[in-house]
Amino acid sequence: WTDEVVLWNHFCNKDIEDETKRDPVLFLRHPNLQPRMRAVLLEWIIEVCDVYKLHRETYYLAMDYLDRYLGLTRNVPKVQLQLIGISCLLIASKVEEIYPPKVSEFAYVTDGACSEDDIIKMELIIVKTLNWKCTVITANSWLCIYIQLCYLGNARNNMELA
Amino acid sequence: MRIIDEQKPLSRASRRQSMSEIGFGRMETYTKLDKLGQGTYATVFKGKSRLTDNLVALKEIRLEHEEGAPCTAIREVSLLKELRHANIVTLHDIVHTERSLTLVFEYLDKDLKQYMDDRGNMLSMNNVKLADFGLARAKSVPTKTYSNEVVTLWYRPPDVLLGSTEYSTQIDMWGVGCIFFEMACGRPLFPGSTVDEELCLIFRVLGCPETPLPVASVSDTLLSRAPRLHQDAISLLTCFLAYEAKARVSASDGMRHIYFKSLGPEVHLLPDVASIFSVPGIQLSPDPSISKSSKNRRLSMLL
Repeated sequence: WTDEVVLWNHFCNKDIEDETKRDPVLFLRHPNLQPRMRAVLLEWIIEVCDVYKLHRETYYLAMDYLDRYLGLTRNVPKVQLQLIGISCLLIASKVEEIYPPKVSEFAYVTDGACSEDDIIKMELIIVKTLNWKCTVITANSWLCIYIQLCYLGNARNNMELA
Repeated sequence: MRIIDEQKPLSRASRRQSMSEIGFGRMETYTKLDKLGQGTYATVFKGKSRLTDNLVALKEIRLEHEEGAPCTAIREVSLLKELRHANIVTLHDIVHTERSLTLVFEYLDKDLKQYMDDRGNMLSMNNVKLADFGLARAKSVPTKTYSNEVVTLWYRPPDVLLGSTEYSTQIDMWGVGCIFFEMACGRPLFPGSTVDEELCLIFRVLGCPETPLPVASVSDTLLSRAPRLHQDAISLLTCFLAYEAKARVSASDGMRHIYFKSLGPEVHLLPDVASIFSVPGIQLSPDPSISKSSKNRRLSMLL
C-alpha cells in the first residue's frame, strides 16, 4: 500500500519540522500555570474521550494542539485552560473522527464552564495560532509504527528459524 | 533560557506581522468578481489580488454554522499547507472575518472536462492541478477503519460500496482508473446514481466479485467502450480496476507501467514542484487519432 522508506522518512521529517516542535520550557511563558494543571486538564480530556468513545489518536492530537498553543502564547490565565483544552479536543475530533461530537456535547461536559459560543471562538483562535498545522505525527502514530515493525521483525525471525 | 524562550516565537510572530502589513490575511486585498460555484459549505468566487493583479479563486466558507469551523475546512487547509507540488493547487492565503473564512487559491481557468475538450487547440503548456481536499486525510499507519460514505459515487471502489471501512490509499486508485477512462473517451465509466446501480454497472464490466470475468474479456469490453485507447492503456486501466483493493496497482507502480514508457525515464526524476513540461520533448499535442494516424497516439492521451 505504500513504500516503507517513503513513509518512514515522512514521519522523521515531520518530527523535526520547526513549526510543530513543542517548547520544553513551556511554563516559563505562563506564570499563572503550573505543570500540575496541565496534567489535570489532560486527565479530564481523556475522560471526555472515554465518554464520547473518541479514538486514542484524537486525544494525542488534542494534547499536541494544547502544548503547541501554550508554546506560542503568553500569560494564559488559569481560568482559560479548560476552554483551551476542550477547544483543542473539538479541533482534534474534526481532524480525526468520522463523526465528531457536536459543539454542544463538548460544552455540556464542561458543566457550564464553557459555552458553545466560547468554544467556537476559541477554536478559531487556536487554529490561527497554530497556523493551521493540524496534521502532526503524534506519539500514538509512532507507537503504531513500532508495533508493526515489531510484529514484522518477529515474523521475519520466525521464518528464519523455520 | 530566556533567549530560547523569546527568540523563535517572536521572529515568527514578527514575520506574520510583516506579511499582514503587505496585505496578506486581509479581505481588502482581494476584489471579488463572478461567482463560480456553490457547494454545501462554501461558495467559490473568481477574484483578483490587489497585491499582484493575479486572478485568484476565493473559497468563502460561512461560519454562522453552529458547529464552528467545518471539519472539511480544517482538514483541507492543514493538508494543503504541507503540500507543494506542480500538480496541486496552491493555497495563497487565508482570510478570516467575523462571519466567514476565505481560502485564497491560485485561479485555474478550466476544470478537467473543459481542459480535455480544449486540448486539441491548445498550444500552452498548462498543468493539470488537483484541488478540493475537503475530505482528505493524512497518510498514516493502516490500523484504523474509516467511514464508508466517502468518494463521489462514480469513483467509489466496489469494496467500499459493499461496506468496507478498512481502506487505505488503494481506495483512490480505483477512481484514478475511472477518471483515466473518462479522460480518454469523454464520458464516465460507471455513472451510477445509487449504490446499487453503481455496483450493477461495475458488475456488468468486471463480472461478479465471486466469479470475476477473465482479464481478456474485461479488456475487450473496455476497448469497445473506449476505442481510442491503446492496448497498453487498456492494460493499465485493468490494473486500476481490480476488485480486491490489495491487487490494485499503486500510484508509484502505475507510473512505471509500460503505457508511460514513451515519456522517457526523466519523468521519474522530476522534483515535486517541477512541471512535467519542463522535461525536454514533452508537450501537449492534438490527438493524432482524430487526424487518422494511429502512430504514437499515446503521448496525446496523457493530458
